[in-house]
Amino acid sequence: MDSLITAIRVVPLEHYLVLSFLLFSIGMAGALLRRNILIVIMCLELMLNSVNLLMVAFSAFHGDAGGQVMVFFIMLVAAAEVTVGLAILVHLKRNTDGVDINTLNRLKW
Amino acid sequence: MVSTDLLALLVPALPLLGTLVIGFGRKRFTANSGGGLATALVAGAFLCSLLLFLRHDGGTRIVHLFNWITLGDMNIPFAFQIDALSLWMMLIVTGVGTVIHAYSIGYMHDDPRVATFFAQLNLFTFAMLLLVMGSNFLVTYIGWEGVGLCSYLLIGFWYTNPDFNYAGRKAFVMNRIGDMGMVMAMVLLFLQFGTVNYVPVMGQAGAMSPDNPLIITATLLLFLGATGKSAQLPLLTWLPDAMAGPTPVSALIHAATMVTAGIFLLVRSSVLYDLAPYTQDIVLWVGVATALFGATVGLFQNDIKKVLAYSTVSQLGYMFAALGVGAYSAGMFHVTTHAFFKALLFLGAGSVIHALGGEQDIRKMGGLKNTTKTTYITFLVATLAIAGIPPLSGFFSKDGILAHTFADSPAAYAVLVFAALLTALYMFRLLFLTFFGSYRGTAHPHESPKVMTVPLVILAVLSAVGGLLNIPHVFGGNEWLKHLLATASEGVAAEHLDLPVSTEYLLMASTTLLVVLTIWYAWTIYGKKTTLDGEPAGMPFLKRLVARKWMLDGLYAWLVEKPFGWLSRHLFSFGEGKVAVPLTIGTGKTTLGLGELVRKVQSGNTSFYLFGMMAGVVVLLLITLLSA
Amino acid sequence: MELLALILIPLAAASVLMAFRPAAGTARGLALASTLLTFVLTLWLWYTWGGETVIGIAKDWVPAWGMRFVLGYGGIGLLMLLLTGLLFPFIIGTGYKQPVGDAALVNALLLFSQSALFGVFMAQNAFLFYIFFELSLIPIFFLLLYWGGEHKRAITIRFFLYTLLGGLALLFSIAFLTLQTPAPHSADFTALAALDLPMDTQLWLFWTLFLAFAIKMPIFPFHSWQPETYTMAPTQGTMVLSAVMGKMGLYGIVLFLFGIVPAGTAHWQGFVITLSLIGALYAGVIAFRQDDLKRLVAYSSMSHMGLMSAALFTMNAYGISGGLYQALAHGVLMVCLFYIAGMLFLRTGTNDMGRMGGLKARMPRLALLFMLVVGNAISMPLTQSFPGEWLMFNGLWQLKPWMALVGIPLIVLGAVYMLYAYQRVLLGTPGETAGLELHDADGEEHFLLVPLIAITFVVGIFPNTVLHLVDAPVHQLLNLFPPLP
Repeated sequence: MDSLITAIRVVPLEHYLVLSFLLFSIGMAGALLRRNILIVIMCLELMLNSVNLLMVAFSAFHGDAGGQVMVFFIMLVAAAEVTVGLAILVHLKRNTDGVDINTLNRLKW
Repeated sequence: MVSTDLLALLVPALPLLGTLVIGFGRKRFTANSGGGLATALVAGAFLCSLLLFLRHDGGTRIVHLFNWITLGDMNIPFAFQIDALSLWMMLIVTGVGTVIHAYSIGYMHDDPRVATFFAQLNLFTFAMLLLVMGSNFLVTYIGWEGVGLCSYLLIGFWYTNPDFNYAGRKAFVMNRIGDMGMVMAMVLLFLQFGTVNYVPVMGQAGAMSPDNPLIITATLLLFLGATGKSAQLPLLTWLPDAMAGPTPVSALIHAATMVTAGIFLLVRSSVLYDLAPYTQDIVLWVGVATALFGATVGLFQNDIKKVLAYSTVSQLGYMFAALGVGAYSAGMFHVTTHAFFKALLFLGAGSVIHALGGEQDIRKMGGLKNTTKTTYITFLVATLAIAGIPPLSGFFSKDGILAHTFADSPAAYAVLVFAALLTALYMFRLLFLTFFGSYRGTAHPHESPKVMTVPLVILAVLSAVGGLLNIPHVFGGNEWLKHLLATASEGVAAEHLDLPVSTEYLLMASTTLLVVLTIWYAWTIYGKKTTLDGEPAGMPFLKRLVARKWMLDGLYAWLVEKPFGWLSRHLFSFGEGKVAVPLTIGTGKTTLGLGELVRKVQSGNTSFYLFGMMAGVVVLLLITLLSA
Repeated sequence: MELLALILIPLAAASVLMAFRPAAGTARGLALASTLLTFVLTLWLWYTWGGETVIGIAKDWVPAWGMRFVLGYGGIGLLMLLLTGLLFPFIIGTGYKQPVGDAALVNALLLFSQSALFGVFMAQNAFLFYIFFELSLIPIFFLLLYWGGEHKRAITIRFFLYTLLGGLALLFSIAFLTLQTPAPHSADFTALAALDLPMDTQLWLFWTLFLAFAIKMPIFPFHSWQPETYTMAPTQGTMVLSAVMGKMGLYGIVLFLFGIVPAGTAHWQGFVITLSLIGALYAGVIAFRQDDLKRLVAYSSMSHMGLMSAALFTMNAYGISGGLYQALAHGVLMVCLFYIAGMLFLRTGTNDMGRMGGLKARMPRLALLFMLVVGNAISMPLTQSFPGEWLMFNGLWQLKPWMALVGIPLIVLGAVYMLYAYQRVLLGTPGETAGLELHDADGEEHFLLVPLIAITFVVGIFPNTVLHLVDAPVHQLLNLFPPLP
C-alpha cells in the first residue's frame, strides 16, 4: 500500500490536476454538445473518472484514505447510473429508431 | 298580608303577564277583552305600587331577585330598589298608564291588530317599570333599551307605511346614539367603583372631591344617554317624527313616561351631578336651548300632534334646566304635572282626530267646542295648565323651575320666561284653531265614546289639582313632594332656594301677567279665524328657518345620513371590490403568472438542462471563489 | 371514553350514511339522532365537570415527532364542545325544511365535520389539533363545491386555499415549537406552554400562529373569503362555518397565542385590537348597504367577530370571558339568522331584500320570530348577547378607554343595519315577491327556532350558567401573562 502511494507521489500533484481538468473538460464538452446518447453517457463516465483520478491523487498526497473510499463509492454509483442510462437508451432506440438525445423532449407533458 | 318583596315583584310582572297572554293569544282577543285585560293588569300594578307607597317608611329597600351577571369580582344582581323616587315614578307610570290603556280601548277599537297593540303597550309598561325600579344601572338599562324597542315597535305599528317605519328606526337609532354614552358611563363607573348598584356607587362617589375628571366624564356620558332618550338637543329630531305612532302611544311613551327617563336617570345620579358643576352648566344650557327650540318650532306646526310633540321637547328642556341648577325636586315635580297635562293634551288630540275620522291638520279643524264638549273642556284645562295659569298644576311646577333658575342664572331665566310666553302662544293658537271659529273641514265631527272621555276627565282633574303635591313655602305649602323625594335622593335633600319672598312673588306675578297678555294676543290673531293662509312661503328668513325646524333634519341628513350611506356604498365597492378581494385574487394571479414564466424553462431539451446544470455549477464555483 | 364517543358517534353515523345511502327521511333521522346523542353527551360532560382540566385519553402515536393522541377539556374547551353539541342538531334539523342535494351525503358531510370539530376542541396535542383543524374543513369543502350557489367553484377554491394557507403557517409553527421542547420532543399543549421562548422568537411566532386563526374567524383584513363564501354556501354549510368553525379561531387564540407566546401577544396586543376594531366598524358600515340578506348577515358576523377578537386580546378577565361567552351567543345567533334567511329564500326564491318588503302582512309569525332574533342581534338586555357585550366593553375600557370609545359605535351600527334589513324584508309596502303564494312559519320551523330563541332568553337572563365555565380557566390564563408594565 505504501509503495503504491509512493508511486503516485512520483508525479507532481500539478500534473494530476491538469490531466483531470482536461479529461473533465473533454467530458463536459462532449456531454453538452453531442446529440448521440451513447456518446453523452460515455462523456459522463469520463467526467466521473476524471474526478476519481483527482480524488486518488489528493488522497495519496494528503495521506487520507477517505478520498479513495469515495472513489469506490462513485464507481458503484456510476455503474448503476450507466445501467439505467443504457436501459433508457435501448428503449429509446426501440421506440424511435435513433439515439438522438433531443427526442427525449417528447417525454415532456 | 302580602310581603313587600312580592308586591314589588308583582308590579312589573303583571304587565309582562299581559304581554305574554295577549301576545300569544292575539287571535282570540278583541279590543274589549284584550284591552280590558291589559288595562286591568296595569291597574293591578298601580294598586300594588299604591300599596307599596302607603307602606313606604321613607327608607330604601332592595328587593334582590337573583344574581344576573357574576364573573370573578363582578356581581351584578337583578334587583329592585324601592324608595320614594322609584315609587313615585312607578305611580306615574302605572297610574297614567292605566288611564291611557283604558282610553286605547276606544281609540284602537277598530284596528285589526288591536291585541298586538295592547301586548306591546303592556310590554312597554313592563320595561318602563324595570327602568325606574332597577337597583343598579344595568337593570335600569334593561328597561332603558326595552322602552326603546317598544317605542320602535309602536311608532311603526302601522307598518305598511314606509315613513312610519323610518320614524321608528330613527327613534331607535338616535336613542342608541345616546345609549353609547350610557353604556360607557356604566363601564366607567363599574371599573371605578367595582359595582353598578346605585346605593354603593352614590355612597362612594359622594366621598370624592368635586370637579374630579372621572365624575365629570361619567356625568357627561350619562347626560348623552339622557339627551337621546329625553329628546334634548342635539338628539331630538326623532320625537316629532315619533308622532307617526297611534295617539295613545304618543301620550304614554312620547309624553308622559319614556321621554322623562333621562330626567329620572339624572335625579337617580344626583350625587354625581352635584359633584360636577361643569356638567350641570351644560345640562342647564342644553335644557334652556331645547326649551326655546321646541317652543319656537311649535309655533309653526300645523299637525296637531306635531305641535304637542314640540311642546313636549320644550317642556323636557325645562326639566333639564331644573336639573342643571340642581333643583331636582322641581324637575321631578314638572315630570309629574307634565305627565298629567301632556297625556291629557295628547289624548284630547286623539279624541279630536277620532272625531274627525283621522284628520290631524289644524287648518282643517275649527269650531269643535260645540260638537266635542268634553274634549274641549278638558283640553282647555290642560292648555291653561301648560301655559302656567294659577292655580293649575303647571303653574306651580313651572314656577318652581323658574325660581330656581333665577337664583342660579338670570340669563337662563330670561330665556325660559320667553319660552314660557311662546308656550302660551302656540298652545292657545292650537286651542283656538281647533275648537274656536268655524269648522273648516269636511268630516262630521262627533264626540268620542265614554271609554275615551272618562280618561280625559280623570286627567283633567289631576292636571288641575296636581299642583297641590308640592305647594311652595311662599304659599304656605310644605313642599310635600320635595320632602318625599328627599328621602331617596341626596341631590333633592341638598336643594335650597334662597330668594327673598318678595322677589318670588314679583317673579310669579310678572310671569303670570305676561302669560295672560300673550293669551290675549293669541286670541286677537287666531281667536276668530275662519280661514287660514297656506304655507308660510313669503315669510322673512328667520321665520322660515324656524318653520323648517331650524333646518335640523336637513342638517343631519346632510351631515350624517348621506355621508354614512356614501361611506357604506363606497367602502363596499372600494374596500371590498378594489382592495380586499383583489388582494386575494391578486395573490393567486401572481402565482399563476410566475408559473407561466418558469414553465418556459422546462423545454424538455436535455442538452439545455445539462447546460443549465453546468452553468449553475460554474456560477456557484465563481461565487465561492470570489467570496473567499 | 365519553370523549372518544364524541368523535366516534358522528363518524360512525356519517360512515353508515355514506355506505348505505338511505332515503332522505331515514338519513335525516339518523343524523339528527346522532347529533342529539352527542348533545346529551356534552351536557353530561358539563354536568359532571368539576372545574379542573380533564384528560380522557392519552396514547402515544408518533413519539419521535412528539405526536400523541391526547383528548381532554378544560372550561373553555367545554364551552366550545357545548356550542358544537348544541348547534349541530339545529343545523341538521335545518335540512328538513331547507333541503339541499342528496340528504344522505349532505348529512354525512355535516357529521364528518362535527366529528372533526369535537376533535379540535378536545385535542390536547398541537399536532392532533392541527389534524382535526384541517380535517374539519374537508367535508365543508365538498358541501360547498357540490351544493353552493353562483360561482361555487371559484369561491370554494379560494376559500379552501386561503384557509389552507393559514393552516400551513400553523403547521410550520407547531413543528418549530415542538423542536424547541427538550428531548424527547412533545407537542402536548402542556409541554408547549412550559416553553419559555425568547422574546424575539415570540414576536414572529405570534404572526405565523395568528394568521391561521385570523383567517379562520375571520377578522379584517384576512376576511375576503368570508362574505362570498357565506353568501354562496348552502344554508347548513354557512351555519357550520359561521356558528362553529369561526369559533375555532377564537379558541385557537386562547390556546396557542395566550398559552404559548404570551409575551409576543402582549407586544402585538394594541396593534391587533386596533385591527379588530377597524374591521368590526368596517363590516358594520358595509352591512348597511347590502341588498343580499345572507351577505348582510355575513358582514354582521364579521363585525361581531371583530369585537370578540378585540375583547380577547385585551388579555384581562372581563375581555377574555366576554369574548368567549359571546362565542356561544354568536353561534346561536348565526344559526337563527341564517335559518330565517333560508326560510325567506324558501318562500320568495331570492335573498335580495330589494325584492321583498311588506311580507309581514302575509307572515306575521315569521315577523315575530325575526323580531326576537333581531333583538338578540342588536344585543338588547335580557337576550344573551348583552352580557357578553357588557363584559367586552368593560375589558376594552379597562385596557385603554379609547378602545372602548372606538368600539362603542358598534351598538349603533348594529341597530342601523339590522333594523333596516328588518324593515326592507317585512315592513313597508308590499314588494314584488309579496304576490307569491306565501305561507307563514309552520310548525316544523317553530320547532327549530323557538328552542333557539328560548335559549337566547334563558342565557340572557341567567348568563352565569355559561360564565362560570370560563371564570376559573380565564384566571388561570391571566397568570401566564407577563405583568403589565
